[in-house]
Amino acid sequence: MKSKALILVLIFFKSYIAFPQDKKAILINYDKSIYINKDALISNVYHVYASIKSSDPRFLSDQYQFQIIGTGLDELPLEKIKEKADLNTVKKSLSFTDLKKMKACELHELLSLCKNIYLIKKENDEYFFWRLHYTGTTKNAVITNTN
Amino acid sequence: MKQQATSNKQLLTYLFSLLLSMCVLSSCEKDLYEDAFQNDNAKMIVKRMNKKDLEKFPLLQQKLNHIELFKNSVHNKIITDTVYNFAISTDEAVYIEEGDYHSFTFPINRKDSYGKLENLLVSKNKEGGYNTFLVQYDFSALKLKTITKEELKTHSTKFTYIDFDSNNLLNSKIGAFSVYMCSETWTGVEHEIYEGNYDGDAVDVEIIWTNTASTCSWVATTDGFFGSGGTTSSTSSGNGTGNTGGSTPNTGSSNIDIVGTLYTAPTPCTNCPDLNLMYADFLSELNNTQLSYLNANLDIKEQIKNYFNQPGASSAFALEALNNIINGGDSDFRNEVILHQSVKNNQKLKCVFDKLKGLSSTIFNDIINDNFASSKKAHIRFEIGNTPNGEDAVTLPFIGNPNDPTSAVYKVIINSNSINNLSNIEIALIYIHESIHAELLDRCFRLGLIRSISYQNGTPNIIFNDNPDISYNTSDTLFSALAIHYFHYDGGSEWNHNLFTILNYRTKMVQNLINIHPWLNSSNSDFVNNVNNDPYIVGGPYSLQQLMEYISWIGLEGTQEYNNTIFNNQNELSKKVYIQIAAKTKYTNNCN
Repeated sequence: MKSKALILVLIFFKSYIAFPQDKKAILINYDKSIYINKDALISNVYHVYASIKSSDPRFLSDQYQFQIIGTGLDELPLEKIKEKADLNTVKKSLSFTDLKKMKACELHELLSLCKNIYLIKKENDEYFFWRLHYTGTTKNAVITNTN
Repeated sequence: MKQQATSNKQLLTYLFSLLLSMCVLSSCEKDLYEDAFQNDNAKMIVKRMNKKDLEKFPLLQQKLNHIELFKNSVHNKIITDTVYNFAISTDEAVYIEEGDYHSFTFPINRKDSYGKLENLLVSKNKEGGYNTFLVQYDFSALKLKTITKEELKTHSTKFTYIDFDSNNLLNSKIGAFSVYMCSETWTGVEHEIYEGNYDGDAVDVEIIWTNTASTCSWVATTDGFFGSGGTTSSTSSGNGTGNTGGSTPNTGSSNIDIVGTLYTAPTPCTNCPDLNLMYADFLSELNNTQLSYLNANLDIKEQIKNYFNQPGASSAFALEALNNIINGGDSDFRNEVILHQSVKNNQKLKCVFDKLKGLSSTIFNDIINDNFASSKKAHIRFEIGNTPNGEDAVTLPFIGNPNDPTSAVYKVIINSNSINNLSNIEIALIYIHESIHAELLDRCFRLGLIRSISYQNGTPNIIFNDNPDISYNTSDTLFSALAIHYFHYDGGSEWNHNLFTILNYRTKMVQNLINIHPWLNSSNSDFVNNVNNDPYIVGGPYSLQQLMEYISWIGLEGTQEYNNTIFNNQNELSKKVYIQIAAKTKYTNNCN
């Protein structure tokens, strides 16, 4: 329960912080476990994949899928749709691999219930974020670069 | 002795209490204006002043009288120059004092501020008189309400020297004056807000930001673009030879020595006429390309300005609409509909669109009003492209910020492979049908029914909210219950179409089609005659009303109501199939 409490990052923001109306949020660091891919059909949609080793011995990995939706009608590079994040808030973010301590079903429910999931990226001592929509989990899947 | 000691103690207590009371009373007698703004920096005093306070400064009044000489009209408390659209509220200012220095920051509104917040700064100079500057902050009045100190550090303020004591203001554009940029230090001062005459407790606290600008450098300016300039120390008191290089300022390099340390407090003009904070904020966020376009196309600028006077105007829509125009499309601000250049350049689609607008300039608002009995809110863009599954048209919703209802935009894609075969009435049906989709989705989003939208192979996958925390009226409750009902019906994929058939939306679409028909029909190839004279007619003869009834079912074939009314009745199904084909083959597909 204690470890769960550590993992469930429920952050209460004040109104002046970078995430204005959020009461609870999950902030995920943009690290090596994260892969972002542009949607082939819808120009302003990006898919985000976070793969971690499955805690269930029947599976190799759990791939958690999210989407970033551009803020307009046209394709915008990720750089254009990122928003600036407050440093104090960012300190409370976590690596997705930390979440493997949770059971897959628990994590799936947590992500499904959370209305505010953010992907945090550090660039030149500044922090930015994208809003994520959780779209589901696939077992044993791995994004494969064949370029 | 003990009694006397007690008595002395009581006396001392009484005197102390009296002294304390006097102090408190003395504080109460002081002008509460002066105390209300004491900031955490003990050396600086910041306070708002009204006309009565400002009249205590005779030199300032002389300066203000000079300003009034140059102005064409005085309306209430606002002095307006109709030549430069430069409105100054001279009866209110923020006073800043530090040591022997003080300044007054007056609210202004200037037409060419590009939405940036501006003030008139009257700053005490070394001679004991005042210098006057136009101060332009790098943010809007609306942004000021939520700005943080971290954000302020990233902005730069421009100080433009204005010589109100000469005729310069009338002889030269403001933009041609010397402009200075400085090293800035921002301080937030808590200001308690009282109601009435400051009796009782403060009802709120606001932050007044003060900008201490020192080590100012001049920058040459032409049309708002800045070159590099020399620098001068804030303490320089010489003959203005502090320049160390760079381009020559347009005017007044000798004025450099007048720029010492300047103190100003960004102050919006709440009383200025013709000031729309949202419009100003919109302008302030535009890039040079967008601003240049607006300056070269004043009719578009006027349309956008008028748009922001509409209730519920959205900056996100206005930006999409402006970019669309710059990229060769058309944007209809009144209807909040964007025509992508692909539609604008397609003769038939554009012609039908214009015919609809010929019926009423607010046709899309009217359609939504007819169907929903309330105003249209969805921001739609029509464009030609590939639909995910080869449909004639599809509405794709996008929610930028789930916490901002105005951030949702809807892309209606009309299948490029279908257009040549579409008749005028089919195109009109697409415009109406897809607009209603967008409106239904937007309403669900605004009611908190939709949490998020993702895409699976090009098809929207809408995630409902299990517990919307928005309070509903009766109408919203009914709408919400119906949406959730159909979400659970038959796998839910037709939930949005099912809402079309409920509450008579489809029936009202029939009336829209009947109204539009005379504009799209060809008198040489009349649709009703073509159908009724068809030797292979199924059912019939048909009235226009009956034909439009069947046409309105196109696209709604997956609904519960369609199954009940049409699909499960072979006779009705035969008629619907026949008229759907007739809508394509017996309705003109030439629009002129």
